[in-house]
Amino acid sequence: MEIPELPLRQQMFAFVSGSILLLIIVELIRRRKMLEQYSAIWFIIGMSAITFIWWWPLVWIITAWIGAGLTTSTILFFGLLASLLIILQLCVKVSEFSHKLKDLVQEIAIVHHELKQVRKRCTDLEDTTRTLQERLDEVRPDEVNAPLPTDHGLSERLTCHPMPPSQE
Amino acid sequence: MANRVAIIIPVFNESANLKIFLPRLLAIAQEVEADVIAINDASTDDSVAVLESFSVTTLTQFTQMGYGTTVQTGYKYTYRTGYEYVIQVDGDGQHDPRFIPRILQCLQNNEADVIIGSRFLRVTEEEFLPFDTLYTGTFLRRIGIQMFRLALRIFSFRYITDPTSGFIGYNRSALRFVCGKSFPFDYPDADMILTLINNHFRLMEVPVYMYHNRISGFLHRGCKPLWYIFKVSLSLVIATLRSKEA
Repeated sequence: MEIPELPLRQQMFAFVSGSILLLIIVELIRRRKMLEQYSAIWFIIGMSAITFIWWWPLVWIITAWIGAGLTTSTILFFGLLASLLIILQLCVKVSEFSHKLKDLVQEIAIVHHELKQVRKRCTDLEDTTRTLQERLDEVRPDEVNAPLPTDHGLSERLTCHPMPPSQE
Repeated sequence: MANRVAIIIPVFNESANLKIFLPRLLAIAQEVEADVIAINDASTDDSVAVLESFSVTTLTQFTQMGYGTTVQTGYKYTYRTGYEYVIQVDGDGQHDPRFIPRILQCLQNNEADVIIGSRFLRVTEEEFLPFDTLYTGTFLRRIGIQMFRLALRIFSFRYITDPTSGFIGYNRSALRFVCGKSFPFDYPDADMILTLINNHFRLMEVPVYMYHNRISGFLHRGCKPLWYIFKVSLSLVIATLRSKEA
Protein backbone atom coordinates (compact mmCIF):
# COMPACT_ATOMS: atom_id res chain seq x y z
CA MET A 1 0.00 0.00 0.00
CA GLU A 2 1.46 3.31 -1.09
CA ILE A 3 0.93 6.06 1.49
CA PRO A 4 0.78 9.56 0.02
CA GLU A 5 2.53 12.30 1.97
CA LEU A 6 0.53 14.86 3.94
CA PRO A 7 0.53 18.20 2.06
CA LEU A 8 2.74 20.85 3.68
CA ARG A 9 -0.18 23.25 4.19
CA GLN A 10 -2.08 20.58 6.15
CA GLN A 11 1.03 19.77 8.18
CA MET A 12 1.42 23.45 9.01
CA PHE A 13 -2.25 23.79 9.94
CA ALA A 14 -2.18 20.72 12.22
CA PHE A 15 1.02 21.91 13.90
CA VAL A 16 -0.26 25.48 14.46
CA SER A 17 -3.71 24.43 15.74
CA GLY A 18 -2.18 21.79 18.07
CA SER A 19 0.35 24.31 19.39
CA ILE A 20 -2.34 26.94 20.01
CA LEU A 21 -4.39 24.36 21.93
CA LEU A 22 -1.39 23.44 24.08
CA LEU A 23 -0.62 27.10 24.75
CA ILE A 24 -4.22 27.77 25.78
CA ILE A 25 -4.11 24.80 28.19
CA VAL A 26 -0.82 25.96 29.73
CA GLU A 27 -2.17 29.49 30.09
CA LEU A 28 -5.38 28.25 31.71
CA ILE A 29 -3.34 26.23 34.22
CA ARG A 30 -1.03 29.19 34.85
CA ARG A 31 -4.03 31.44 35.59
CA ARG A 32 -5.47 28.71 37.83
CA LYS A 33 -8.59 28.51 35.65
CA MET A 34 -7.97 24.83 35.04
CA LEU A 35 -6.57 22.31 37.49
CA GLU A 36 -3.66 20.13 36.37
CA GLN A 37 -5.69 17.02 37.14
CA TYR A 38 -8.26 17.88 34.44
CA SER A 39 -5.72 18.92 31.82
CA ALA A 40 -4.34 15.46 30.99
CA ILE A 41 -6.88 14.58 28.31
CA TRP A 42 -6.55 18.03 26.70
CA PHE A 43 -2.76 17.67 26.57
CA ILE A 44 -3.19 14.30 24.86
CA ILE A 45 -5.46 15.88 22.23
CA GLY A 46 -3.10 18.81 21.62
CA MET A 47 -0.05 16.57 21.41
CA SER A 48 -1.87 14.17 19.07
CA ALA A 49 -2.71 17.05 16.71
CA ILE A 50 0.96 17.97 16.49
CA THR A 51 2.52 14.54 16.38
CA PHE A 52 0.12 12.99 13.92
CA ILE A 53 2.08 14.86 11.21
CA TRP A 54 4.91 12.40 11.84
CA TRP A 55 2.49 9.56 12.46
CA TRP A 56 0.74 10.07 9.18
CA PRO A 57 1.43 6.50 7.97
CA LEU A 58 -0.09 5.26 11.25
CA VAL A 59 -3.32 7.09 10.42
CA TRP A 60 -3.41 5.22 7.12
CA ILE A 61 -2.79 1.91 8.83
CA ILE A 62 -5.57 2.57 11.37
CA THR A 63 -7.93 3.65 8.57
CA ALA A 64 -7.30 0.41 6.75
CA TRP A 65 -7.56 -1.60 9.96
CA ILE A 66 -10.94 -0.18 11.07
CA GLY A 67 -12.24 -0.29 7.51
CA ALA A 68 -12.85 3.43 7.11
CA GLY A 69 -12.96 4.81 3.57
CA LEU A 70 -10.97 7.98 4.21
CA THR A 71 -8.28 9.10 6.65
CA THR A 72 -10.40 12.15 7.47
CA SER A 73 -13.15 9.81 8.72
CA THR A 74 -10.62 8.16 11.06
CA ILE A 75 -9.46 11.52 12.41
CA LEU A 76 -13.07 12.69 12.82
CA PHE A 77 -14.03 9.45 14.56
CA PHE A 78 -11.17 9.65 17.06
CA GLY A 79 -11.83 13.35 17.59
CA LEU A 80 -15.44 12.56 18.43
CA LEU A 81 -14.35 9.71 20.71
CA ALA A 82 -12.00 12.06 22.56
CA SER A 83 -14.85 14.60 22.97
CA LEU A 84 -17.14 11.89 24.37
CA LEU A 85 -14.40 10.82 26.80
CA ILE A 86 -14.08 14.41 28.00
CA ILE A 87 -17.86 14.65 28.53
CA LEU A 88 -17.83 11.33 30.39
CA GLN A 89 -14.97 12.51 32.59
CA LEU A 90 -16.89 15.70 33.35
CA CYS A 91 -20.04 13.69 34.21
CA VAL A 92 -18.02 11.58 36.65
CA LYS A 93 -16.59 14.74 38.20
CA VAL A 94 -20.02 16.38 38.45
CA SER A 95 -21.38 13.26 40.21
CA GLU A 96 -18.42 13.31 42.59
CA PHE A 97 -19.03 16.97 43.35
CA SER A 98 -22.75 16.32 43.84
CA HIS A 99 -21.87 13.78 46.54
CA LYS A 100 -19.50 16.27 48.15
CA LEU A 101 -22.08 19.06 47.92
CA LYS A 102 -24.69 16.82 49.54
CA ASP A 103 -22.34 15.97 52.42
CA LEU A 104 -21.44 19.64 52.83
CA VAL A 105 -25.04 20.85 52.86
CA GLN A 106 -25.95 18.18 55.42
CA GLU A 107 -22.96 18.97 57.61
CA ILE A 108 -23.67 22.70 57.49
CA ALA A 109 -27.33 22.12 58.43
CA ILE A 110 -26.29 19.98 61.43
CA VAL A 111 -23.43 22.25 62.54
CA HIS A 112 -25.60 25.35 62.12
CA HIS A 113 -28.23 23.80 64.37
CA GLU A 114 -25.61 22.85 66.97
CA LEU A 115 -24.18 26.38 66.82
CA LYS A 116 -27.64 27.81 67.49
CA GLN A 117 -27.98 25.50 70.51
CA VAL A 118 -24.56 26.56 71.83
CA ARG A 119 -25.42 30.25 71.35
CA LYS A 120 -28.68 29.76 73.20
CA ARG A 121 -26.88 28.07 76.09
CA CYS A 122 -24.32 30.89 76.16
CA THR A 123 -27.11 33.47 76.35
CA ASP A 124 -28.78 31.53 79.17
CA LEU A 125 -25.46 31.32 81.00
CA GLU A 126 -24.84 35.05 80.56
CA ASP A 127 -28.31 35.80 81.95
CA THR A 128 -27.66 33.59 84.97
CA THR A 129 -24.28 35.24 85.59
CA ARG A 130 -25.83 38.70 85.32
CA THR A 131 -28.58 37.80 87.79
CA LEU A 132 -26.04 36.39 90.26
CA GLN A 133 -23.86 39.51 89.90
CA GLU A 134 -26.85 41.76 90.57
CA ARG A 135 -27.74 39.78 93.68
CA LEU A 136 -24.13 39.95 94.86
CA ASP A 137 -24.08 43.71 94.33
CA GLU A 138 -27.17 44.06 96.46
CA VAL A 139 -25.38 42.57 99.48
CA ARG A 140 -23.97 45.34 101.77
CA PRO A 141 -20.19 45.33 102.55
CA ASP A 142 -20.79 45.01 106.33
CA GLU A 143 -22.90 41.91 105.59
CA VAL A 144 -20.00 40.42 103.68
CA ASN A 145 -17.53 40.96 106.59
CA ALA A 146 -19.99 39.88 109.28
CA PRO A 147 -19.48 36.36 110.73
CA LEU A 148 -21.62 33.70 109.22
CA PRO A 149 -24.79 33.23 111.26
CA THR A 150 -24.30 29.48 111.48
CA ASP A 151 -20.54 29.15 111.97
CA HIS A 152 -21.06 27.22 115.23
CA GLY A 153 -18.15 28.98 116.98
CA LEU A 154 -15.82 28.40 114.05
CA SER A 155 -14.53 32.00 114.09
CA GLU A 156 -13.70 31.64 117.78
CA ARG A 157 -11.80 28.42 117.25
CA LEU A 158 -9.87 29.85 114.30
CA THR A 159 -8.68 32.88 116.30
CA CYS A 160 -4.90 32.79 116.93
CA HIS A 161 -3.89 32.21 120.58
CA PRO A 162 -0.34 32.62 121.95
CA MET A 163 1.54 29.35 122.32
CA PRO A 164 1.79 28.07 125.91
CA PRO A 165 5.33 28.31 127.40
CA SER A 166 7.51 25.29 126.91
CA GLN A 167 7.90 22.82 129.81
CA GLU A 168 11.62 22.44 129.25
CA MET B 1 -31.73 14.90 73.60
CA ALA B 2 -34.45 14.16 76.10
CA ASN B 3 -35.89 11.02 74.54
CA ARG B 4 -34.67 7.92 72.75
CA VAL B 5 -37.17 8.28 69.92
CA ALA B 6 -37.13 10.88 67.16
CA ILE B 7 -39.75 11.72 64.59
CA ILE B 8 -38.23 13.41 61.56
CA ILE B 9 -40.16 15.50 59.05
CA PRO B 10 -38.68 16.63 55.74
CA VAL B 11 -40.14 20.03 54.92
CA PHE B 12 -40.21 22.02 51.72
CA ASN B 13 -42.73 24.89 51.46
CA GLU B 14 -45.26 23.20 53.71
CA SER B 15 -46.35 26.08 55.94
CA ALA B 16 -50.07 25.64 55.17
CA ASN B 17 -49.95 21.86 55.76
CA LEU B 18 -47.77 22.16 58.86
CA LYS B 19 -50.30 24.37 60.65
CA ILE B 20 -52.82 21.53 60.46
CA PHE B 21 -50.43 18.62 60.79
CA LEU B 22 -48.08 19.72 63.58
CA PRO B 23 -50.62 19.88 66.46
CA ARG B 24 -51.67 16.29 65.68
CA LEU B 25 -48.07 15.13 65.39
CA LEU B 26 -46.90 16.87 68.57
CA ALA B 27 -49.72 15.31 70.57
CA ILE B 28 -48.63 11.86 69.45
CA ALA B 29 -44.96 12.70 70.01
CA GLN B 30 -45.72 13.66 73.59
CA GLU B 31 -47.64 10.43 74.04
CA VAL B 32 -44.73 8.26 72.86
CA GLU B 33 -42.07 10.54 74.42
CA ALA B 34 -40.44 11.38 71.11
CA ASP B 35 -38.56 14.45 69.92
CA VAL B 36 -39.83 16.01 66.71
CA ILE B 37 -37.08 17.15 64.33
CA ALA B 38 -37.87 18.98 61.11
CA ILE B 39 -35.42 19.30 58.23
CA ASN B 40 -36.14 22.31 56.11
CA ASP B 41 -35.01 21.93 52.50
CA ALA B 42 -34.43 25.65 51.90
CA SER B 43 -38.13 26.53 51.95
CA THR B 44 -39.05 29.89 50.49
CA ASP B 45 -42.30 30.27 52.43
CA ASP B 46 -42.75 30.74 56.19
CA SER B 47 -42.38 27.03 57.05
CA VAL B 48 -39.51 27.78 59.46
CA ALA B 49 -41.61 30.39 61.29
CA VAL B 50 -44.45 27.87 61.64
CA LEU B 51 -42.04 25.22 62.95
CA GLU B 52 -40.51 27.67 65.42
CA SER B 53 -43.96 28.76 66.61
CA PHE B 54 -44.54 25.12 67.60
CA SER B 55 -41.03 24.94 69.18
CA VAL B 56 -39.97 22.16 66.84
CA THR B 57 -36.22 21.50 66.48
CA THR B 58 -35.43 22.61 62.95
CA LEU B 59 -32.37 21.94 60.80
CA THR B 60 -32.13 24.08 57.68
CA GLN B 61 -30.31 23.21 54.46
CA PHE B 62 -29.02 26.39 52.83
CA THR B 63 -29.80 25.18 49.32
CA GLN B 64 -32.53 22.92 47.99
CA MET B 65 -31.21 19.37 47.71
CA GLY B 66 -34.31 17.22 47.25
CA TYR B 67 -36.22 14.72 49.32
CA GLY B 68 -33.56 12.01 49.71
CA THR B 69 -30.83 14.34 50.90
CA THR B 70 -33.25 16.11 53.25
CA VAL B 71 -34.36 12.97 55.04
CA GLN B 72 -30.76 11.74 55.19
CA THR B 73 -29.78 14.96 56.98
CA GLY B 74 -32.35 13.96 59.59
CA TYR B 75 -30.95 10.43 59.79
CA LYS B 76 -27.41 11.70 60.22
CA TYR B 77 -28.40 14.17 62.92
CA THR B 78 -30.46 11.64 64.87
CA TYR B 79 -27.77 8.98 64.56
CA ARG B 80 -25.07 11.31 65.85
CA THR B 81 -27.29 12.58 68.65
CA GLY B 82 -27.80 9.00 69.79
CA TYR B 83 -31.47 8.26 69.15
CA GLU B 84 -32.43 4.59 69.25
CA TYR B 85 -35.49 4.71 67.01
CA VAL B 86 -36.35 7.11 64.23
CA ILE B 87 -39.69 7.44 62.49
CA GLN B 88 -39.98 9.44 59.31
CA VAL B 89 -43.22 11.16 58.31
CA ASP B 90 -43.82 13.57 55.46
CA GLY B 91 -44.41 17.20 56.33
CA ASP B 92 -47.38 17.52 53.98
CA GLY B 93 -49.73 15.75 56.37
CA GLN B 94 -50.30 12.74 54.12
CA HIS B 95 -49.33 10.33 56.87
CA ASP B 96 -51.59 9.79 59.85
CA PRO B 97 -49.45 10.30 62.98
CA ARG B 98 -51.77 8.09 65.05
CA PHE B 99 -49.90 5.10 63.57
CA ILE B 100 -46.57 6.21 64.98
CA PRO B 101 -47.03 4.30 68.28
CA ARG B 102 -47.72 1.12 66.33
CA ILE B 103 -44.57 1.49 64.23
CA LEU B 104 -42.56 2.33 67.34
CA GLN B 105 -43.92 -0.65 69.21
CA CYS B 106 -42.83 -2.99 66.40
CA LEU B 107 -39.34 -1.48 66.51
CA GLN B 108 -39.12 -1.66 70.30
CA ASN B 109 -40.29 -5.29 70.25
CA ASN B 110 -37.46 -5.96 67.76
CA GLU B 111 -39.92 -7.39 65.25
CA ALA B 112 -37.89 -5.85 62.40
CA ASP B 113 -35.12 -3.33 61.72
CA VAL B 114 -37.23 -1.30 59.31
CA ILE B 115 -40.98 -0.82 59.60
CA ILE B 116 -42.80 0.45 56.51
CA GLY B 117 -46.23 2.02 56.84
CA SER B 118 -48.37 0.58 54.06
CA ARG B 119 -51.49 2.29 52.76
CA PHE B 120 -52.53 -0.93 51.02
CA LEU B 121 -52.73 -3.13 54.10
CA ARG B 122 -56.08 -2.97 55.77
CA VAL B 123 -56.39 -1.45 59.21
CA THR B 124 -58.21 -4.32 60.89
CA GLU B 125 -58.83 -2.92 64.34
CA GLU B 126 -61.22 -0.01 63.99
CA GLU B 127 -59.56 1.99 66.73
CA PHE B 128 -60.02 5.28 65.01
CA LEU B 129 -61.67 6.68 61.94
CA PRO B 130 -59.62 8.34 59.23
CA PHE B 131 -59.33 12.13 59.33
CA ASP B 132 -60.02 12.42 55.62
CA THR B 133 -60.50 10.44 52.41
CA LEU B 134 -57.86 7.75 52.16
CA TYR B 135 -55.28 8.00 49.41
CA THR B 136 -53.90 5.16 47.33
CA GLY B 137 -52.05 7.23 44.75
CA THR B 138 -52.81 8.65 41.34
CA PHE B 139 -53.37 6.30 38.39
CA LEU B 140 -49.79 6.65 37.19
CA ARG B 141 -48.42 6.22 40.68
CA ARG B 142 -50.44 3.04 41.16
CA ILE B 143 -48.95 1.68 37.93
CA GLY B 144 -45.50 2.58 39.24
CA ILE B 145 -46.24 0.88 42.57
CA GLN B 146 -47.36 -2.29 40.78
CA MET B 147 -44.15 -2.26 38.73
CA PHE B 148 -41.97 -1.79 41.79
CA ARG B 149 -43.81 -4.53 43.68
CA LEU B 150 -43.15 -6.88 40.79
CA ALA B 151 -39.53 -5.79 40.48
CA LEU B 152 -38.96 -6.27 44.21
CA ARG B 153 -40.53 -9.70 44.01
CA ILE B 154 -38.23 -10.66 41.14
CA PHE B 155 -35.05 -9.24 42.65
CA SER B 156 -35.60 -10.02 46.33
CA PHE B 157 -38.42 -12.62 46.46
CA ARG B 158 -40.23 -10.34 48.90
CA TYR B 159 -43.73 -8.96 48.54
CA ILE B 160 -43.82 -5.35 49.70
CA THR B 161 -47.27 -3.86 49.25
CA ASP B 162 -46.21 -0.21 49.45
CA PRO B 163 -42.68 0.21 48.10
CA THR B 164 -43.08 3.99 47.67
CA SER B 165 -44.12 4.71 51.26
CA GLY B 166 -42.35 7.54 53.05
CA PHE B 167 -43.82 6.54 56.42
CA ILE B 168 -40.91 4.49 57.76
CA GLY B 169 -39.36 3.61 61.10
CA TYR B 170 -35.75 2.54 61.64
CA ASN B 171 -33.89 1.05 64.56
CA ARG B 172 -30.34 2.20 65.24
CA SER B 173 -28.56 -0.38 63.08
CA ALA B 174 -30.76 0.42 60.06
CA LEU B 175 -30.37 4.12 60.82
CA ARG B 176 -26.60 3.76 60.64
CA PHE B 177 -26.94 2.08 57.26
CA VAL B 178 -29.21 4.75 55.74
CA CYS B 179 -26.69 7.41 56.77
CA GLY B 180 -24.25 5.89 54.27
CA LYS B 181 -23.54 6.47 50.61
CA SER B 182 -26.09 3.93 49.40
CA PHE B 183 -28.97 6.25 50.26
CA PRO B 184 -30.38 7.88 47.09
CA PHE B 185 -30.21 11.62 46.47
CA ASP B 186 -33.76 12.17 45.25
CA TYR B 187 -36.43 9.54 45.91
CA PRO B 188 -35.52 6.69 48.23
CA ASP B 189 -38.22 4.16 47.40
CA ALA B 190 -38.14 0.59 46.08
CA ASP B 191 -34.41 0.81 45.35
CA MET B 192 -33.66 1.58 48.99
CA ILE B 193 -35.92 -1.24 50.13
CA LEU B 194 -34.02 -3.63 47.86
CA THR B 195 -30.67 -2.35 49.15
CA LEU B 196 -31.85 -2.90 52.72
CA ILE B 197 -33.02 -6.44 51.91
CA ASN B 198 -29.72 -7.20 50.14
CA ASN B 199 -27.92 -6.08 53.27
CA HIS B 200 -29.93 -8.50 55.41
CA PHE B 201 -32.06 -5.97 57.27
CA ARG B 202 -35.40 -7.25 58.46
CA LEU B 203 -38.33 -5.41 56.92
CA MET B 204 -41.93 -5.44 58.00
CA GLU B 205 -45.05 -3.61 56.87
CA VAL B 206 -47.79 -2.29 59.09
CA PRO B 207 -51.10 -0.83 57.91
CA VAL B 208 -51.41 2.95 58.06
CA TYR B 209 -53.74 5.65 56.80
CA MET B 210 -52.55 8.04 54.12
CA TYR B 211 -54.50 11.03 52.85
CA HIS B 212 -54.72 13.20 49.79
CA ASN B 213 -52.61 16.30 49.87
CA ARG B 214 -55.04 19.10 49.10
CA ILE B 215 -52.68 22.00 49.63
CA SER B 216 -49.94 22.54 47.09
CA GLY B 217 -46.30 22.80 48.05
CA PHE B 218 -45.51 19.24 49.03
CA LEU B 219 -42.14 17.67 48.51
CA HIS B 220 -42.94 15.52 45.48
CA ARG B 221 -44.21 18.54 43.58
CA GLY B 222 -42.84 18.83 40.08
CA CYS B 223 -41.72 15.21 40.04
CA LYS B 224 -42.11 13.92 36.53
CA PRO B 225 -43.72 10.50 36.96
CA LEU B 226 -42.07 8.89 33.94
CA TRP B 227 -38.62 10.07 35.00
CA TYR B 228 -39.38 8.81 38.49
CA ILE B 229 -40.36 5.35 37.24
CA PHE B 230 -37.26 5.19 35.02
CA LYS B 231 -34.96 6.36 37.81
CA VAL B 232 -36.27 3.88 40.40
CA SER B 233 -36.24 1.02 37.86
CA LEU B 234 -32.62 1.76 36.99
CA SER B 235 -31.74 2.06 40.68
CA LEU B 236 -33.36 -1.34 41.31
CA VAL B 237 -31.12 -2.97 38.71
CA ILE B 238 -28.05 -1.18 40.07
CA ALA B 239 -28.97 -2.10 43.66
CA THR B 240 -29.14 -5.77 42.57
CA LEU B 241 -25.77 -5.53 40.84
CA ARG B 242 -24.21 -3.92 43.89
CA SER B 243 -25.64 -6.72 46.02
CA LYS B 244 -24.09 -5.77 49.38
CA GLU B 245 -22.93 -2.39 50.53
CA ALA B 246 -19.88 -1.94 52.68
